[in-house]
Amino acid sequence: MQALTGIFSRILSPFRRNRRQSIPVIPSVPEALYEEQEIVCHGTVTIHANHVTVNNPEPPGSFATMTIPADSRVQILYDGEPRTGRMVVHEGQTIEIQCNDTAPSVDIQLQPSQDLFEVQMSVEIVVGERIQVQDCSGVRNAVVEIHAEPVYPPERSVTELLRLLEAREFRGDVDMEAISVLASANEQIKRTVLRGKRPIPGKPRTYQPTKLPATYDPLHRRRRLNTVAVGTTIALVDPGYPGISGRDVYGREIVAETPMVDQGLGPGVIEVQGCIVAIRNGRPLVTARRIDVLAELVIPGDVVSKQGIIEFDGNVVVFGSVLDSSIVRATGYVEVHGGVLGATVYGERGVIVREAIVGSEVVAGQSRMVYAELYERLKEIESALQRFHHEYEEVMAYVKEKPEATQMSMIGAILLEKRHRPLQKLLENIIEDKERFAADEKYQRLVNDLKTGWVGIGQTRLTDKDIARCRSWFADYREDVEIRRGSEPANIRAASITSSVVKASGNVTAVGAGVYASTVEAENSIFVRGTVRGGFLVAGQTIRVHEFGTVAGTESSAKVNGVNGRITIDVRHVNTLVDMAGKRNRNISPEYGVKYKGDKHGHSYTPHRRFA
Amino acid sequence: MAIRILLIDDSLETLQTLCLLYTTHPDFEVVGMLTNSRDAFTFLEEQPVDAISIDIQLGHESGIDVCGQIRKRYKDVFIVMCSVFDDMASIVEPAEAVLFLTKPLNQKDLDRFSERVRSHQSGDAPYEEGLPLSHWLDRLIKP
Repeated sequence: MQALTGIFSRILSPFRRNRRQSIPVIPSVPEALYEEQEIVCHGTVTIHANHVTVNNPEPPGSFATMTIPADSRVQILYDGEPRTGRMVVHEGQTIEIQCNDTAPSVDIQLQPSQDLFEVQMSVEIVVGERIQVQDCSGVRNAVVEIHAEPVYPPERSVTELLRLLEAREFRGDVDMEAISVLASANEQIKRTVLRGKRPIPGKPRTYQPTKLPATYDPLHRRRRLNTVAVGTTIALVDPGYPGISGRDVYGREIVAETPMVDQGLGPGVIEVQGCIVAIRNGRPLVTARRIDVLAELVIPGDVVSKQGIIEFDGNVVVFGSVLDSSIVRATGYVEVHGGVLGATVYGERGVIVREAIVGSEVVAGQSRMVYAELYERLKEIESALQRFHHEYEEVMAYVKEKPEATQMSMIGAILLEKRHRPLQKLLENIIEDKERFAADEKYQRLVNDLKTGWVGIGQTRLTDKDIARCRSWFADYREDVEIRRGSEPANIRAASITSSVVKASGNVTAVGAGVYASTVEAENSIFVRGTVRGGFLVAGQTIRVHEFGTVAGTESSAKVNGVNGRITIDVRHVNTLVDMAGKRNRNISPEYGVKYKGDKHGHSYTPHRRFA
Repeated sequence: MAIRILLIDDSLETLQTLCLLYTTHPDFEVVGMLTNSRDAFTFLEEQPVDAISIDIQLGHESGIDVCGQIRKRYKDVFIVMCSVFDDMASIVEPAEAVLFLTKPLNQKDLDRFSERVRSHQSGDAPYEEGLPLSHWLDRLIKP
């Protein structure tokens, strides 16, 4: 103490000498602070293996505390009551730690694929938790820390997984590697564990065309196969092979499909020892649908009416023109190197005219058009017959209960005449149209059957069997017609078309001056490089015209029936009508670059806008 | 027998086109082509027709008025009105012997036209499909 005072005196002495200054006086240290400290025993907490031990303090020590978090994984009970927060603890309390462990779980699912050729197994693992409170030893303020240890489910056995497959009656090739991976998985995983056997489709019988010489044809604007002689091999038969059936994951047999090829042989060829051979001289026709040899009739000059009607089973090639009142009908193409003037030309596979069509009727693909129309009529007849049959049955059931009813055999005829006249008319139309289908044997047979049973006196003996038989005739024939109406579309091409009726089951193209005062109908498209002046254009899909109408406002109409069709006109004069799938537009001012697509009208501009 | 048809349209090109169309259809025979209605009455007095095709807009005349005048004098004649407008059907078609066709015409339109004319000509009595079957049967079976 005296030493300290001495030290302080020496430090302060310079300050003391100058007593005039105000110098702070440092108080002396009280003696009590330099007394020896006593060791204090505070209370402690020890946590070990989820067990709490508390030691009380010795006075003047303070009791230990525990801070318990609010966590659902752990519950700490003080004398049986759960507590959270900071608590003072002492030996008299019973402190219990309860850990809410979660057990691991496994969910195994089997899912066959949509095509039933694979089975996928998915293992969903939910990892459990073992909860433990962090150990601490002899701590005065213990903070409970929770430690979670993941617990994984035990591995599945391969046998167990295989049994699951058996229980669901799956059969096939088991992928053992995938099963092993799934058995030992510790996380969510999916694998294909079983496979069926997919069928292997067969290859259909096809025809491979041989390499035949071809020459560029300026009229057709493409290379065409040269004409061939009888005995020429046109194609080779590829027999194909049958498919191999498979099995699905339930072990059921799945038959292999062999795709059908719609390529038939025409009457101009036969199959000889794996070869398709021409049986007549003519021009080979090789398309996706047909292989044939079409005979060709070559007319070196003009066709005139005094030659009579030219009907030919094959192609007709006219190196001159087809003139006044001549009629040319061909089952193949008709090629005219001159013009068609005041004549009638029917080409089943197409008509090509180098020059103009004037004052004529030209039709390409007439069978397809005619059978398309017949198909609709047959459908109508089938519906009408169904209604008639239904009513006939009702009537017969009703009448049988009436003792006063007589002449029941007349019921059919009376019903037809009085209540089903549209059906009667439809059947009469079929009979009247006999000439149009003179070459169709099935049609002719149908007409004969109708004449005996459904018209005139035959009607008076109509029975339920007759009606059923009639329905079956029409159903069969309609299927036949459905094939015929699906034949390849035929096109017409000419330099210009004037005052003519032109119809095609494919496209109509005017490559020269244009179309004047004519009716042009095409099931597909109409293309006019020049001008359309007056007349009607009706197409199924597309109309493209360079100039539509005239400056003088000649009334001209164009119509596309297809809802996804389009009309394109470079120059559209006034007073022209455009009908796009029922939406009609008639303009009163010229337009340029007109494009109608579906129900949209875009990209057109009128003169004042053009110069804007 | 072919349906004798008279064509009336103020546009020469349309008249030519219609003539072509009707001529190539097996059910029709074109007996005359006129560009105005004045000549029509003169024509009808000299030559009977089964049907007349009239454009709704005949230059300065109204085709509907012409149709009405013709119907008054020639009740048996079937009339088809042609137009570029498709909203005239409800005005034009209430009369039984009148059909409305929109331009451009095609084969199907002519088929429909032919059917209507034939129906009109045969004077078909309305058939009894509208009657409930049981009523119809009772009438039939009554001695």
